[in-house]
Amino acid sequence: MSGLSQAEERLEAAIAAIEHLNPTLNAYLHLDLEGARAEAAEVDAIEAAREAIADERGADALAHESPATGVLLDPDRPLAGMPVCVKDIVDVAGMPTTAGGADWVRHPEEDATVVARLRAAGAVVVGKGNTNEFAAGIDGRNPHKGDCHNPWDPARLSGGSSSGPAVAVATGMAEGAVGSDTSGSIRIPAALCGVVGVRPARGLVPTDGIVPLAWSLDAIGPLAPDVATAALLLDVLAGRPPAPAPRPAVAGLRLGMAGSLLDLAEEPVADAIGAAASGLREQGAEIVDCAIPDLERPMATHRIIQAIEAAAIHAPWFERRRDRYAPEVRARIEAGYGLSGEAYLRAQRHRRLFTRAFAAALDGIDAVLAPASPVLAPPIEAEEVTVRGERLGVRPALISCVAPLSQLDCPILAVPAGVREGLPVGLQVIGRPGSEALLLRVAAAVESAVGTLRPPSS
Amino acid sequence: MTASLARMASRPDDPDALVAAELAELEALAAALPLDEIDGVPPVQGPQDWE
Repeated sequence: MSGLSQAEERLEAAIAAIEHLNPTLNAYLHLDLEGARAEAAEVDAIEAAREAIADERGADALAHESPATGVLLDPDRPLAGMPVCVKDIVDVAGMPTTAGGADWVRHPEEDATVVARLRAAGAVVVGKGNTNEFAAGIDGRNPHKGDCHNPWDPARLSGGSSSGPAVAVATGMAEGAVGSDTSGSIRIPAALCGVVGVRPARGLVPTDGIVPLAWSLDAIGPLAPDVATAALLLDVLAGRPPAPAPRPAVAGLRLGMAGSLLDLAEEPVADAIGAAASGLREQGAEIVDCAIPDLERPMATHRIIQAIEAAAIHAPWFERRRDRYAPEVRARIEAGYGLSGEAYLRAQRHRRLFTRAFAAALDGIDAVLAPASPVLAPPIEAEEVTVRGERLGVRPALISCVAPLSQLDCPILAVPAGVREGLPVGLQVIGRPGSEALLLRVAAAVESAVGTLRPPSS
Repeated sequence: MTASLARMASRPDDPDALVAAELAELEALAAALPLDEIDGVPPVQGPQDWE
C-alpha cells in the first residue's frame, strides 16, 4: 500500500475488509466508497497543510474551515483519517437514511450534528450500518434489508439494533462507529461481537438528525474495537476536547457486583464476568455486592414508555405503511396507540422512583458491574434460548440485563470480558451521571487483563 | 425467576391479533404499577440528575 498517505491507507484497509466480509456479514446497508476516498484524500491534504502551518506558525493556527464542507474543523483533528460506520438511523448528507425499514427512506442534505462533529474531527464516513427495523429490536435481524451476522460465527446473532456498527468495528470494516441505544442497542451488539460500546448519559450527545425510537430513552454513542478509541469517539460526539486516553487505574475504587443480574446469566457468561471482577480486584479495586432494586417494574415501565413514544413518533407514517412493518415491530409500535396518557405518566413516575432507588443503592460505590447479555450469541434462527434451565424468548432474554438500566439516564458501557465457547462475553459498567471517564478507566482495566478481541473471521 | 426474564406469552400469527396481545400485556403491566407509591412523584421529563 505504499504511495498512499495515512487516511487513504487506513480507508483502503477498511475497504479490503468490507469486500472480504460484508457479503457474508451484511454490516453495511449503504456504502459510498468513492465519496470516502475523496474525503480521505482531503483529510490527508489537510493534515499535510496543518503540519506545514504548525511548523511555520505554531499549533494555535490550526483551526480553519474545511474547503469541502465549510465546517469549522476541530483544531485537534483527533480522528484524522479514521474510517467510520454510521448506523442507518443517523443522517449523513448525501447518503440515504432508511432506518432499516421496508420502504422508508429520506435523503438528508445535512449531516446529523454527531456526523458533522465526526467529519470536523477528521473522520471519514464509509457508509451506513445495518440496524433492526427502526432500531426497534435487539437481535440484529432485519427481514427487509437482510440479517446482520456475528463475525465470531456467522450462524449466530450479531445483536442489535446497532448491528452493523458493532460488526464493522469488530472486523476492521471501520475503526469506529456510531450507534444508538434505547433498550440496549449499543451494549448488546457490543457484547455479542466483542467490542466496546458506550451508552452515554442522556443529554450528553445530541440526537438531532436521527430517526428516534423513544425520545426519553434514546442515547447516541460510540462503538469501537478498544477502550481508547471509544473514549476518543465519545469526546468528539459530545463536542468536547479529547481527554487523554483512559488509564487502567482502579486501585481504591469500590465496585458493586449486581448479583441479581449476574444470577440471570448462563454459566459461561457468569464465569467470564466473575473472572473480569477478579482481574479488577487484582488491580486494586474492592468488589462488593450491590443490591439493585427490583427489576420487574423498570422492565414494565421501559416497555410502556417505549411503546407510547414510538407510537407518537411513527404516527406520520404508520397509517399509510402499517402493512410494511414486520409484524413484531408493528405490534410493539401500534400497541402504544392504545395505551392511555395516564399509563405513560404512571410509568414515567415509577421510572423516577427506580432511579432514586438505584442511586441509593450506589451509596458508597463508584460503579456497578453486571453482564450485558445473559447468554452467548444465540443461533440466528433461534426463537428461544435456554437461560438457567428455562426456555425463554430471544428478545426478553437479550434485553433482561440492559433495558431496566436504560431508565436511569446514566452512562453505561459494555466492554469485552473474555471469550467462552468461542464467543465473546460483555461486561456492563454502570455509573452516576457524569461518570463516563471513571467508567472508561474501569473498562481500560478490564481490557488490560482481557485484551482486545478479534474474531477469527477477520 | 424474575419477571424480567419471564417467557413472553405465546403469540398469535395474525398481525392484528399480535397487536392486541401486546396491548393487553402492556395494559396489564401499567395497571400493576401501584399508584400509592408515586404520590407526589413527578414524571421523568428531561435527563434525570439523580437528585
